[in-house]
Amino acid sequence: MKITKERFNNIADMVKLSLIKEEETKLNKDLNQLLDFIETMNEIDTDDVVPMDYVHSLRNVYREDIATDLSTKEEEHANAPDFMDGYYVVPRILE
Amino acid sequence: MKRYETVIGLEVHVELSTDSKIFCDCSTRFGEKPNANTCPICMGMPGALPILNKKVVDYAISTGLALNCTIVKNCMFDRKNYFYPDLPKAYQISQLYFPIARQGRVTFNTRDGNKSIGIHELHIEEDAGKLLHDSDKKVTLVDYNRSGVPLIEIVSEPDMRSADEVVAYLDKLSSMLSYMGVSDCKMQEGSMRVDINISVRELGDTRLGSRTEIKNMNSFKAIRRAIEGESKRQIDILIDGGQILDETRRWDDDKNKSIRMRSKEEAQDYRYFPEQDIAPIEIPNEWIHKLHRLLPEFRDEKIIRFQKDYGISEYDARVLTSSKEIADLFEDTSKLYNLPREVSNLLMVEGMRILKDNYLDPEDLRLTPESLSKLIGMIDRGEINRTKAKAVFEEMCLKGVDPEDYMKRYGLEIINDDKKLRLVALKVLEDNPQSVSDYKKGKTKAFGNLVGQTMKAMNGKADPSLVNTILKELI
Ligand SMILES: [Zn+2]
Repeated sequence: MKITKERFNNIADMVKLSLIKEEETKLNKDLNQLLDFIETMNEIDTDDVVPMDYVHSLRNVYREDIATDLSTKEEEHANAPDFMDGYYVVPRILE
Repeated sequence: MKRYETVIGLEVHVELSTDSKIFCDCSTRFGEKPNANTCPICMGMPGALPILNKKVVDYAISTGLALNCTIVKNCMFDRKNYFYPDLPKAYQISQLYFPIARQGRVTFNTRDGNKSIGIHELHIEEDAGKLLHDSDKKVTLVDYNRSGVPLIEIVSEPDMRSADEVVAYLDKLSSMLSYMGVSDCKMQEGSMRVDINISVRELGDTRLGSRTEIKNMNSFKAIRRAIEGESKRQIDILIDGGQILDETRRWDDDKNKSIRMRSKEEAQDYRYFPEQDIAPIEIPNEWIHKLHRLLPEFRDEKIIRFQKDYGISEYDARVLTSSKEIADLFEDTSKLYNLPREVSNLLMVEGMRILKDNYLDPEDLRLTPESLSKLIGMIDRGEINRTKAKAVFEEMCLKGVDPEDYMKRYGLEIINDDKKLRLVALKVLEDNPQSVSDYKKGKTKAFGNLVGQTMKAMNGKADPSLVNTILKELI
């Protein structure tokens, strides 16, 4: 499987990367090499192998349903580049 | 002419009634100031780690069991990636590969008999924030209070054929969810939101046609109109020999038509992958059995049992079971004072009127089975007439008064006043012998003076007509 230039640009777009020409060429090449590597693994017969869904053997821990009021809001609000009347302000999003 | 049928499947998003969010201990309270219920976790700050709220899993399992699903005993979370400002992490934690429950079924009555709808799956996910579009300032405002509120998404099979069936299915779902206390299912507050997958095909055809998805519906009326409108739009296209496009549409209820949002080709590429910050969920049998035992009796079973146990009509049983609160109030009161028809009558006629007049939900009523059973006893023994009983009932519903206390106080006040008034009036007569004799001689003005003196002695708090009567009696 080869990643076409079109698909490459689409992926870059989705992950919000803006690349210059040289970066594009280099990354596209790297990505294709990676896929070639994975392609090799496809040659292994895994029909009788149980899929590994998760890398380690941990099991989940839970928290109880109790609400507490952390007063870190001001800090959070101050982190934002633009904050107005209680709202975070972002460039206008069209529906 | 060819005949067509509409094929509908639903994705129902339900906000769970937990106190805290799904992965952090922020409150889920509705109607707070913007960005008041947030923390580094639900704001997606780098390094903040999610910890799953156990109640969310409880609620999801209970719902899965109520919908006759198979519980997936080893389920997992996945990341659904998309870039939008309502999602601070730029991914939503959801379940794609191993949803918590699968392959269920829900059955309800319709005019044409029982209808059964398959449940494809049920999964857990987190809600996103809310965007407000400020047209003046050309910016978008974001409120993250809803970010991280737990949701379950219930995905049905394409088993519905009409708007009536869709509404009946949603009614059944929301009744079950509220009976379990899993969600309040308030569509107007957005705690139940519906995506409709809809296609049409020639009657008798077993293949599914191309479908459109109508996103984010939040009222029964709009859902009904959207299904009717979209189904007609698709049938018109087919009749004209056209082709239905696989696309996402938005229903504009004011214009009464659906509007194209994006085609399947433009559909988002979510690049799902397993969420590594949350370890796999293991659900042992004991957990499932425990929740199974805790499932409540649902509305349809209650309707049948109430008719049998309390001898009330099917209509009455339907009204009384419209909410679990009213149904429990009816049953618990009838156990304390065995006069179910009277209880049912008060709750159905007066209770429903009070809810409507005061824009209240059943859980807002301050009535208890104890207080209501006292009132029923008082009515039964003829200690209170029906008009007064209705007034007392309203006070009980709104202010939580005890009917005996209330009547005692109310009744005693009148007797006391009367006695007190007589004593005061006697004293006034004794102190004003001149006015009394003047009045007896026919001077009506003198009587006015006596009334005035009595009212003054009562600090103006007596009923003047009662003062008149008492004075005339005494003279
Ligand atoms: Zn939080």
